[in-house]
Formats: sequence, structure tokens, C-alpha cells
Amino acid sequence: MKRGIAIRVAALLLVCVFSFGYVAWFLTRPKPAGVQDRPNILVLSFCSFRIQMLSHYAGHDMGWVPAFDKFFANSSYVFENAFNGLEWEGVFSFTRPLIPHDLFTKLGYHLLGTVEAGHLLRIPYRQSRIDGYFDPDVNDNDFEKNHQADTDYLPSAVSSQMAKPFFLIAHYKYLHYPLIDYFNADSQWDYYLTPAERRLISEYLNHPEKYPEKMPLLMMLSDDPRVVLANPEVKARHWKDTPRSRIELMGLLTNPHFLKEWKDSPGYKDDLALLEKVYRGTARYLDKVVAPELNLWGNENLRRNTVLIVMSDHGEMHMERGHLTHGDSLYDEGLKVPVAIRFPGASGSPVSIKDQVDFSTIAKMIEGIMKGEITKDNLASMIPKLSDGVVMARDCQNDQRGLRYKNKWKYFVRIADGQRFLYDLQKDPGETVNVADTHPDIADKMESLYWDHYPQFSRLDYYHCAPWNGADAR
Amino acid sequence: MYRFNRMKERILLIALLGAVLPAWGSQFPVAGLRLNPAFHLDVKELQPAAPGQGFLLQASNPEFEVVVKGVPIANPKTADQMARVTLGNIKNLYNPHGNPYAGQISSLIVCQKAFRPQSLHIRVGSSSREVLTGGANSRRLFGACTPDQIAYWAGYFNFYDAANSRNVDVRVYAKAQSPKPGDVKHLQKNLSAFLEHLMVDAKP
Repeated sequence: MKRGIAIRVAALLLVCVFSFGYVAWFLTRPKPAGVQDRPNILVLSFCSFRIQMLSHYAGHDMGWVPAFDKFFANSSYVFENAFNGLEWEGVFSFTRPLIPHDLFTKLGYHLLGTVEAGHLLRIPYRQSRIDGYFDPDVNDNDFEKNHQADTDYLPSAVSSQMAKPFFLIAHYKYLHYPLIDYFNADSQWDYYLTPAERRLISEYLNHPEKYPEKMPLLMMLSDDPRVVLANPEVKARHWKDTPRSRIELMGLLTNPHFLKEWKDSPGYKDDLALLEKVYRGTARYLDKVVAPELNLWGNENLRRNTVLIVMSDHGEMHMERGHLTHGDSLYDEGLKVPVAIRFPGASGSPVSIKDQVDFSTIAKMIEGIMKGEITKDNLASMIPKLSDGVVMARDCQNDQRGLRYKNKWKYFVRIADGQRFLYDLQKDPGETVNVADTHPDIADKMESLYWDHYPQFSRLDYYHCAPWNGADAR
Repeated sequence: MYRFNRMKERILLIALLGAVLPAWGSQFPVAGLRLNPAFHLDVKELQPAAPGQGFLLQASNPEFEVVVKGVPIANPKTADQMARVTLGNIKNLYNPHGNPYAGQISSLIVCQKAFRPQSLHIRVGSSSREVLTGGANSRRLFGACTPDQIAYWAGYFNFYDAANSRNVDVRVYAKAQSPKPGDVKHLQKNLSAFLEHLMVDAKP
């Protein structure tokens, strides 16, 4: 009897010792090297954010988006020549394929997800393709409740992740058309409008049948299908009340025929001023909403160990060269994006990075920061090593394709007739004189470069745009 | 109908004659090939060929316009991809453009059945190449597929000139102002006949 008790006590002791040992080992086990030192990486991406809104790029103080201006003025580095040649992609489309998923785990990073934070895109827009960086609970942005959830999610998510570094991309669609905010009473999208301009917009939107030529403007302001169907040309030839049909109608925004009708209509210049003011009013609201994010919610812990990247996803045309919105122009206005990065401890006087970069460069830079190879002190010298100087470019319809080369040449081909366009960006930064005929050797070199790079880029998701072609494409 | 059939017969007769006629005076910058002299094409070299560089020439007679572009591509594999993708991209111009940033809504540009693009195969030197034929507008842009848009019935093909390491891109335009659906069959026959005999061996 006594022997049995002794055996049981001994066994219990053994179990206790083993358990204690396991717990001790678990708590003191070796962790991936440097985890404690790795910074959080937070990327705030702003859809359709025009670079012209920022004082830094304008070269003088404009004060339209003060929180953004402050961030750029106090960042560590500002990229002066960042471009996205694929105007339907965000930076997350490049980080996903370029940064191996298991690298996050290996380096001890916690993936918080890619968040869609914005409420203005009313077409259902799911990001489930972004597997690995995707949190299914916070991806819809088509209703205010979801937008609110996204915005609330950010500070709580990042604040609860102090044990190990996090990686998160938040993508804000506030400035994506339609620009009128129907959801937030405090948005003040009409902040810059005069009473007469407010009445004019109201008249346009309440009686679109009287102003069919204003259709592109009214679609930018409001994606109400009534606006489009009020156009007799559209009404006569198209309308099926299906989700697909509704998406197709958005294509009218970039239709050259309708854009020309608007451009030729009386009051066009005033219309452009309206568009600019509504855009600016919405940007002002965005600035107010994201000011806490740009300041990392005043959280000192976050500020000490978070690298914050602020960027746009593509340019946005307001009828420059006759183009509206994005996705169909390969000129710099459509491709150039603002990008700034702030390392912990930054205190103003950002360094200007003048090298031409694209989103694959940004993705590689993020990877370098995660690995500890790129720091606040060496970023400027590392950037040229991450880029081969080629920004591949293609429009959404796949009607034009080409590249931007080392801030020196812009080259593209119009597929329908093979016409080549070549611009000497140093002599002609406004891309006004096509020199393809006088520099055929350069055009040939650019053509060859394009095809050398094609396999890599044709693997990127084309989403809602025309597919890539060729057996090597996805 | 009669006019179209006569035109096709004439093209075939001319083409057969061309195969035995002497070569066009200026050197055609593609190894082993020349433009068929029987078509009496007036040739303009807009970018003369030089070793390791591209070229551009335009050729025309009263019925057809031809644009031939050579682009230096050193790697045959890259050239093959370029050829496939470019042909695919041009085919794509005739597809409905239904995406949020598209230029037109799909039901406005779905091709009428009669004006849909067609594919055929021709011999270029020793290889068979796919040719895409379809409507082009007055600016010679492929992708037109309604009568009011069509100003040319056009053809496109490409091939790799390995000896000169160039990808060669050929576009042919036949006048076809606002054709009726019934005209397309004849336009297609004439264009096909021209395309099939456009390039002949350099040595007759």
C-alpha cells in the first residue's frame, strides 16, 4: 500500500518536473534572431490620391491636406519619382508575389491583414485574392458600418500586437469615384463650393436628363445609374439590370466619345472647377480621418518601433490630356504617385530619393526593412540596388503598353495600329514631343526591354482589367 | 460580286507572275524573302535597316497598303513570346471591353457577326503563320467592327527573322469604306489572296 503511494507520488513529481521544465523551455526558447529589434511595418495606401494635392510635390504650401503635408515634411525619405505603371494595382499586389509568405513567419512577423478602409466604392469589392495578408472580417468597404469597422480595427489591431512586430497594409478608397460622400454627414464634400455651385450640382444630379453631355462629370461625382441611363445614347443601346452590367457602365467614365461631348459642352471649365473642388473637399475629409493614423494614434510604443509608409496606388486624371480618372493613360499624370517613409525617430528634413522606383522596388524595400538590411541610415544608398530602372506600364484595357526608363525615356505602343510613342523625359518632362521617329534606335531598345520584362509582370493579377496575353501569362 | 471575283482572280494571276519576276530593286530587309514584285508595290523606307537595328517600311498599290516593322530581338524565346502576345493583344481589341475602367461599354462594341475578326494561316518562308483579319477604322486602328467604324479590311501577322535577329510585324490594309455585311466575304477573299502571296522567296 505504502509502496503504491510512493510510486504515485514519484510519478506525480516526475510529471510536475517535466511540466515545469517544458514551461521553462517554452518561455526561454530561442526566438528568431532579432525579432525584438524588427520594426512594425504599416503601409497606408490611398486610392486615387492626386500628387498635386501635396505641398511637398507642388513646391509650396497649399494647406489642402495638412496632416499629409505634415507627414511628408517630417518623414525620413520622400520619393520624388515613384510610379505605378499598372494603374489598377495597389502596392499589395506587388508585396504578395514578391515577398515570400513564409518569410514573415521566419522573421517573426505577425500578418495583420490588408485592410480596405474607405466607404465610397459602392461596387462590392472583395480582396479575397490577397491570400495570406487577408483578414476576411474587415475587407468590405461598401457600407458605412464596414468602413467604421475597418477604421476602428486599425488602432486596436496594431496596439494589441506588441509581443512581436506586425505587417499591415491599409488601403483607403475615399478618393476613388464617386466623390460625393453619401454616408458621412460630417464629410463636407461641398466645403469649397459656393452656394451657387451647390445649387448647380444639385440641379445636375436631380435632372441628369437635361444634361446628358455632363455624364462623365456626374459619374465622377455620383455613381447613380440614373445619371448614366439619363443619357439617351446609353439608354437606347444598353441596360441590363445586373451587377455585371452596372460594372460595365463604369467604363463610360473613360470613353473618349463621351469625354469629348463633355469637353465641348457649355460650362465645361466651370464643371472642371466643380470637380476639383469636390475632390479637394473629399481629400480634406480624408485628411481629417487619417490624421490619427499618420500620427500612429499618439501611441509612443508604436512610434518607437514602427516604420510608416504613406503612398498612393496610382495617379488620377482630371482631364489632363483629355483623360478622366485612372487606368487608361500611360502619361506621367496617370502613373506618378506620392510616397514617403518615416522611420522611428525621424524629426523632419526628409531626404529626397530621386531614383525612379516602382511598386516592385517598394516591395523589395519593405522586405529589406523586415530583414534588417535596410535601415533609416542606408535606405538612400540601397534603393538603386533594388531597381533596374524599368517601370513597366500597361493600361487597363490593354490598348497601350510600354515602360518608363530611368527617368530618361517614356516609351509606349498603341496596340491598335502599332504606333510608337517615345518621350525624352529630361528634355521634355511634359511628354509633349513624340521622338520615336527621330530616335528609332532608342525606341527599339525600349521595345526589347519591354519584352525582357514581360514574363515577370504578366504574372500579376489583372483583376477586372483585360487579361495579359501569351502562354507565359497567368 | 462580279467585281470582287475578278479582283481575286487578278490578284492570284499577278501573284503567280510575281514569283518568277526579278526581285524588287531595293533589298527587302528580311532574310530569304522579298515583297512580291507582281503587286507593284511602291515602297518607302521610313527607317532603313542596319545590322542589329530595326526597320520600318511602307508599301502600297492602288488597292492595298502594307506596313512592315522589324524590331531587333536577340533571344528567339523572347521573340516568340512577343509574337504570340502581340497577336493576342490585337485579337483582344475586338473583344467586349467590360471592366470598370474600360473605354466603352460592352454592348456598344460587341462586333456584329459579319464583322467579327477571322483567322487564317499563310506560309511565310518555310513556316506557317497565323493571320488575323478584321476591320480597321479611318486612322488604321484595328478593332473596328461596325460598318460606320470600318474604313479598311485589314490583316496582321508576325514572324521571327532569325538570321537578322528581328521580329517582323506586318499590317495590311485594304480599302473598305463602311462595308455592308454581304461585302465582308469578298473583302476577306481578296485580302487573303493578297496576304498569301505577299511575301515570296528572295530567289525566284
